[in-house]
Amino acid sequence: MTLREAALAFQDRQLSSFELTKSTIERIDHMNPALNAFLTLFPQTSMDRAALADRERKENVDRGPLHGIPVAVKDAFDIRGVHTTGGSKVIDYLASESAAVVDSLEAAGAVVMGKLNMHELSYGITSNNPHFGAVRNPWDMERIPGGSSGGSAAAVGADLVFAALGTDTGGSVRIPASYCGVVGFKPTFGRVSRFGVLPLAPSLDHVGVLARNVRDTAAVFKAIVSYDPRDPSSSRHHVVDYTPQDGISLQGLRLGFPEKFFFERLDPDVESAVRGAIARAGALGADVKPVQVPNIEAINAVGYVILLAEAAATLERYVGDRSRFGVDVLSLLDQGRCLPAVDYVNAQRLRRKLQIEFAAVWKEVDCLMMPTTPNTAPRIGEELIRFRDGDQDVRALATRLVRAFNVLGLPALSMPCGLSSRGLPIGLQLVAAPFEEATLLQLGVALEDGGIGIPPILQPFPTR
Amino acid sequence: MNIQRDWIAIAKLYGVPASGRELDRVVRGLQAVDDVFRPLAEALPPSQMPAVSFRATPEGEE
Repeated sequence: MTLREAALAFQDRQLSSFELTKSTIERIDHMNPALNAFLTLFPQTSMDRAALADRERKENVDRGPLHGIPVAVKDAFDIRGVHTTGGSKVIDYLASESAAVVDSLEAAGAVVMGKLNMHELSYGITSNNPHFGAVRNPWDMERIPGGSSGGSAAAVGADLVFAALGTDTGGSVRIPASYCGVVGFKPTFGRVSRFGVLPLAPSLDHVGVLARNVRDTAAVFKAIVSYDPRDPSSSRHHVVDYTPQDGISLQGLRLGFPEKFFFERLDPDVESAVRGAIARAGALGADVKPVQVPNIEAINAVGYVILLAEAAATLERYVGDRSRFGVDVLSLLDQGRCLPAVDYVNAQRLRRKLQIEFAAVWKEVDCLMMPTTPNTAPRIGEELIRFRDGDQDVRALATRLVRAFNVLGLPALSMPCGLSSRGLPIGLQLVAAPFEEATLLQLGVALEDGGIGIPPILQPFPTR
Repeated sequence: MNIQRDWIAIAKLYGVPASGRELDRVVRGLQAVDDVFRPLAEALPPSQMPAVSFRATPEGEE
């Protein structure tokens, strides 16, 4: 069911928010023991909020498309009166106020069902959490959902909630979206407030949305976008109506696909599906052409240095007790502690240089199209993936095509564009110029309406 | 001039108490990024400003 279908069902009195929320709780109770997507559930609060939405609707109060709709948030977002852990054993506090985006969701009438599992401290891509257990991929329970917002993607992918919030510092919304067959959207840096969200690397951190389709993603984005003086990076750039229009042609839209780097070392199924989506965009009227982009390997290296240094600084106070960290997170924190300050400053200097170089791309095209991840979801515990030209580290592989857009702060959207021969989802990534979210979402909707997507999960959901 | 850094010595200097296998992991990660990053950083002109800049008002964007 989509948000649009839910709104129609509410309007026709075929369904109430109370019934929808009750069935959502039952579904979570049935599936979560296997999926391990939820860390905390608020059954009573959820039912109360759903009942309130029903009462409001009867009184002709319309809060928009999220009114009475079940959603959830990664356990990196504060909710007043609820513990925030960041999927870790070093952070655990009772939040005295909610994150700005949680307040926005609730003001839009959304029913926040609970908090979602994640990679420890948002610092990794597997969501194989050493403290709260591995999140499972709803398409294949032996595979990772991606991360760090793995619980968010798994919950949306398994149809437990309509949408979820995640954070994206180096691909942490788009990677799990790609692996779990859902839409993942990271807006422009500064577009959505990070107030009340656990930081990892403040100059790379973004709040993002995961949802079942692009229209639903746009509805959630529209509810959370605003200037917030409590986040020093928050932008006053004007907010437009992000609701995609129906039946819009792609005629005149300039789409580029960067052959170099983004189409190298791909799983053949991924390459075939993404090239198919690009061809479809052309058939729908877009002006599609290959395009040159600046050195992405350099941008990725800059991003890695910034990430290591900022995360080590952010989390330094906790590193005294090494026994309370997972091995992978500890190694990254150690790497960050070793980096000289000169490297961090130079990384930020290179970042500005590369940002200026990259801006030239937008004179040639309006959007870029490329794979989100070079592969489909790896197996839980798998550390290396075999390619024709050698083995690839799972983490480096997953972040390879997405990290640059955190460094550049550009809006980027991952949407499903097919299934591999093993029946696993493949992600298509769309990228636009700063603050061009409306163009990106409109393109995504046009592609979805034009047949780009995946069928629902066919296999019966196992329980443990 | 790209001088190879001794990451093991640096790790010890910064008090990273990682043991043999952990230390290997740390050094491998740093070496990989250094190979790409340092030649780029060394080529930057002094006039190149950083992407993160200080503002005179704590509220951020004017």
